[in-house]
Amino acid sequence: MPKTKQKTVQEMEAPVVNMDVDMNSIDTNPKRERPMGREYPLSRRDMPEKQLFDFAEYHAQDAERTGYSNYSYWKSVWANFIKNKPAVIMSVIFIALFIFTFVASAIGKYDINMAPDPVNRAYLLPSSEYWFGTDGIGRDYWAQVWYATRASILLAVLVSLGQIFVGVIIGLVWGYVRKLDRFFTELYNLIDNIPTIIYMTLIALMVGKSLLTMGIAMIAFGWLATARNVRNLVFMYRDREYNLASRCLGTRLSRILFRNIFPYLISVIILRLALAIPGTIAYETTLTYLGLMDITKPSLGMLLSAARAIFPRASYTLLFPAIIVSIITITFYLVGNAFSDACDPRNHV
Amino acid sequence: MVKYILKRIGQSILTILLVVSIVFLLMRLMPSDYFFTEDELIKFTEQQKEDKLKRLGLLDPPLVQLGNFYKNMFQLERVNDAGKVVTDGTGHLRLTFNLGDSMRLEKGQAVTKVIAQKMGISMHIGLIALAISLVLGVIFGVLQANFKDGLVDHIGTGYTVVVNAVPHLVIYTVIMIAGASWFGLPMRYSGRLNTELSMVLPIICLSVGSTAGYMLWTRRYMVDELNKDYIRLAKLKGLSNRQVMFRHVLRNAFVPLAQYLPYSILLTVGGSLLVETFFSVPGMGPELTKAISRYDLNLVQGIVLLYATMGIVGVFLGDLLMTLIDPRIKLTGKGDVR
Amino acid sequence: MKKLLTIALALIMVLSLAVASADEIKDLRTYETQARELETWNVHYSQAAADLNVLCNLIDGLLTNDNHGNLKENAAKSYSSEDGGKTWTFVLNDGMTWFDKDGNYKADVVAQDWKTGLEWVLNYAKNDSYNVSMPAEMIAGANDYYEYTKALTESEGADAAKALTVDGKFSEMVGIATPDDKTIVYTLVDQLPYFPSVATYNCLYPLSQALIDEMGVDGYRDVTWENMWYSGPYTITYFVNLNEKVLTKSPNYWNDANCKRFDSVTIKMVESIATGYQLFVQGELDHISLDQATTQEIYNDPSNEFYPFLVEARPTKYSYQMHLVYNKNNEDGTPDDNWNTAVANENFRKSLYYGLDATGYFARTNAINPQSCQNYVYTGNGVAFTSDGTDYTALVRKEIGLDYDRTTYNRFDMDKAQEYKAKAIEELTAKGVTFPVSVDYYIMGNSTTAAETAKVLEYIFSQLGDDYVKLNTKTYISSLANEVRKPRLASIYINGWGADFADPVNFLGQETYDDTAAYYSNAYSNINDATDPDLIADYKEFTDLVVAAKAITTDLDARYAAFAKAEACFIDHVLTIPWSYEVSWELTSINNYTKVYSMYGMQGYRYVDWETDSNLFTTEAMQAAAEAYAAE
Repeated sequence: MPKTKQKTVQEMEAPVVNMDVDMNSIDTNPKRERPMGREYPLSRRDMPEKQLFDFAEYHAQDAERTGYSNYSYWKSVWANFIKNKPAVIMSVIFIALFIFTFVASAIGKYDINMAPDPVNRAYLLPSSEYWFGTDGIGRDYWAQVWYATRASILLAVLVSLGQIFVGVIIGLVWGYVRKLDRFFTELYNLIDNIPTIIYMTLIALMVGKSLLTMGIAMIAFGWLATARNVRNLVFMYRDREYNLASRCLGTRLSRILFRNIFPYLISVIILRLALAIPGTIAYETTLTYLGLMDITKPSLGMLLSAARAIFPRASYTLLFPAIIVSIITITFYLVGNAFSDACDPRNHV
Repeated sequence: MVKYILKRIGQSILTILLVVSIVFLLMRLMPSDYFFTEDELIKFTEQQKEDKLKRLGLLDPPLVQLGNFYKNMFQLERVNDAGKVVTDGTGHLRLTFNLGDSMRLEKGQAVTKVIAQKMGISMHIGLIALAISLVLGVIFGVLQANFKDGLVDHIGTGYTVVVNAVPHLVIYTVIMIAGASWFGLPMRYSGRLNTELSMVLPIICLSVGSTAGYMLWTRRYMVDELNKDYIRLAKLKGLSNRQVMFRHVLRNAFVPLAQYLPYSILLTVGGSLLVETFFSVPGMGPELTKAISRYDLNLVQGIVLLYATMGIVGVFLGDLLMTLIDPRIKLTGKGDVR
Repeated sequence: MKKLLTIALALIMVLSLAVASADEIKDLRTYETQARELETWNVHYSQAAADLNVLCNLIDGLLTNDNHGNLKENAAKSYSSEDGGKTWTFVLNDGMTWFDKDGNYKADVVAQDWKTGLEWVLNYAKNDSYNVSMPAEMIAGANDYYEYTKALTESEGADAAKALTVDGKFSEMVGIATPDDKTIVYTLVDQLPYFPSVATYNCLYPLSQALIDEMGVDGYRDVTWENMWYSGPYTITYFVNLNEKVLTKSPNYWNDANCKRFDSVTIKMVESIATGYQLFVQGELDHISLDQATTQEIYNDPSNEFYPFLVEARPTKYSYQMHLVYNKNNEDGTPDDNWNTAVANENFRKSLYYGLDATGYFARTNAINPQSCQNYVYTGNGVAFTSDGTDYTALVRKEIGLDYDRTTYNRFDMDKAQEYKAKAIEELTAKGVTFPVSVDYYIMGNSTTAAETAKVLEYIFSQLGDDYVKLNTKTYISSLANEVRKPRLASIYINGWGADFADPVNFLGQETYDDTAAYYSNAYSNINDATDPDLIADYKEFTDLVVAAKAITTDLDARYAAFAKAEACFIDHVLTIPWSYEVSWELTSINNYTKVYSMYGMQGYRYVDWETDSNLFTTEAMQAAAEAYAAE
């Protein structure tokens, strides 16, 4: 048996055949008339097979190399998100807005408890003295608006997170576990069809109207829409073959839900979360209209409610809170959409 | 499948009864003084108040009241041709559906009559608005998904955002003023003069919000579909963009939308609180809130019964519709492990 | 030549007059907010202003009011009493008829109709005890009949009571007789000089027996605009709940010659005053009340198209008081001893009386002339007049030595207030009261305007010193009675009361001590549960004066003078803090001084004898009308 010579690494990595082609020697003009007989160097097309191909050598080192890609889901999501310029700009604006609510109260000339003076100072237009003008009883509107924004944003974020969290968990279980479908559908129908005002009125009457109570009540009735949406999506995916396979393999329910199905829902859930925040602020307005919120402290719902009662008079009282609500809504809409798009792994390239 | 439908119908009826009963009992949780206006509280003595409540049957135990309510709901009686009840066996049988009389909002009028009058108008306006917003919303959503990140997409996004961000009453006021000044459209609904014209502004207002909603979700679902492999394959195979969009993408993206469709259609009967109050449309929208705040028990129950029926039937039809459009969805779960 | 000139001049004058006077409005377009939609068409059953404001146009009662607030004959062409007010005789006009909504004749209006109406009201099974209180108190035998029908219903069932007519027990028991078709004689329990004013109210409205025969008792209980019988200046020809009502001039009206009517009145229901204002700007309404923001916007901008037309409305009939609560509980149900002790102290109350400057509060209703809202007395205006035409409230003001100064709030005297405050602090600290005293004030939870006004009130209180009193604003959801009054959670109420008939007992009778009929004592101030002997002594003094005044029934001037003394005692001891009137601004085509001035009862919304101008009234024109009115 002939002994194969042990090659060095360089030798192993050296090509067997010199595949370098002398670029100058290639005749690239296909139209040139070629004389018969081989006087000129050949293009690759005319080379014999022997020259074109060669055996692949077995390189033991190369064989050990594994495939490596530095793909991380969330990093990719982030990278994708960043690409969406409008969304990024809006989120920066929103964060700046939120920080500003603290700053604004500090730099404002007056605080929210200043003395009212409806005789002389009511409904003054914005000026250098009152940056946002005054409200119906002569208080500085700047202070009111920023205090309200802060309170409303905090409430909205907490309530939305709560709603989505509860809604997703319930929706997943509802959509997947057939036995519970009936129970949850009944529960959903009950809560959905009994007008919310009845509950909210009874709760407000019996428990009180503090922000905490109202927040919990809003979560308690807000999870419905998300849960239903999630349930319908789960319905679409639960009988796909891969899930069938998982069930056959005996995978735990929680694992199936979170590993198999949940990833399909991320984009929808993120969008819902993003829209829930401005939605809560709007719901606040409805609750104020129904008399179920504490109106002795300013909140965006209260300011909007008061301003729209007299619209289009003193339109600046509506303008400022509306602009802020618009900024918040636009931000979360764009961010929601962009994040949603980014979360879809098929968008990661 | 038929068995499933029958089972669902049975469940639905049970749920409706449950809902109405719960509302019935909940409303009676409120202290009985809510039943009188401030004026009446001034002028009545305790004795008179108690007498009045007793006469309306409000002092009986709640479950007894519930029983009476159901007993009175369907009345089979013999009436002669003039419609008067007769006891001598002549005339014909008539089944009436009786939900009691409105106690406060329209004293003495049968609840069924009050609701029937208002329901018609709300449905009329609501259905037209729904049709408009569905068509416009889906078309725009498709366009947005098609020209994703292009100008059309941004315009659409802009519209949706503006509609969501600006308080609705501002939008309605602007539409009302613009409509009245530029086009001379009537500012309030009127059943007497120019009824058709006076419905235009309320319908536009109703459509504005819904269109934005449909646009938003159509776009979302379509974009999600567009990334799937079978679409890539279809494009590779050489299908034109239009064919891909309508034959494949829309059909699949529409499934989650379809589930809400019957619900929306049936619930147009509920009217929109804001739009109807604003344009003085005599529809169902403000009726429930008013009835609750005036403690008009029979009317509240009647309305809740109506909404509950519509809502539950709507959800049920939505599920059915989903199955029809997408055969992969199984509602029954036959041959399933869990 | 001279003659020609004179004629020419006269002609020119006449022509210019013709040109200058604008047209009267033939078809009035008015509005109402949706919260005030009518609930029932049965005039005997209804107790709500929202219903009666429409119904007063559809049926004629015995008497009505004119634009100065005096009683005016309506269905009755004369009324009199021979025995100082114990029996009253009313004689009806000729030619009055009942007709349906299209004006078709149904029956004649006869004296018996008033018997049928009274029987209906007093019958427990027919009318559910609505509107019973006034007839039962005043007409002989009325209360007995009411109790009789109640007993009958309980023993034999409602149908037995419903079957009763005027020809049964009613004629025996109740003090109403109809000697002929045109005469009604009421016999009262006592000499009541103010009884004719009750005749304007719906408890004494007519009802045709023929109508009951046609539709049955249950049919009339549920009567609607389509099947009811009309006898008044207008009928309803179109009605859609929460949308619109149209009143059309009734053909064959008996009083057509002496009563100026519009051809039609359209009442449009609007969501709020703001929406109403939009309609007005588009020219779809003939008048609109202005809220604070709109008033200021127009007033601050002289180039605004409506600037010359700003008109201050006449005060509404309500007299607003800051009612003090003498027995209050904390939220946990225990008595709020701090407040109860403090409020029982007269110096404490006096410090509030002199130390609260209500100007800021007034400005919320009337931004331009806040002082138009001043109210220093308890009884409302226009309730009673002495024989020389002086309003009763002027008598009271003379007694307490304070008169209105429309340029400044002259009851406010911070120095005096501080004196009383010092005395109060000394006396109360000895009793264990901690300062600042918490004053709990409740507003409705869905009204942001109320919340803002409450903030103004907080500020007004804080002017007395944050170490002395502190106003806490709290909210209730829908029912003041259930959420606040019953559990006695509030320290003060700011509430307005309007009269039902023309006598001060309407007002003062609600505040007496140890009287179950005194509404405010029992429902608001809870005085009967107070324990402080000084407080009770003051109340007793006041109550005695009221009782003495009530006894005077023949000499009205003396009666009013006695009531004025009682009221002065009430105010001097600061058992209430008189607060405000409602005077707002409006844009209108209607001369406010030609409207029915009815500070009690329900006649105020009759669309008769109004002077209108298809252009809006300017500020000056309305002032001229006011002066002409004052001179009448």
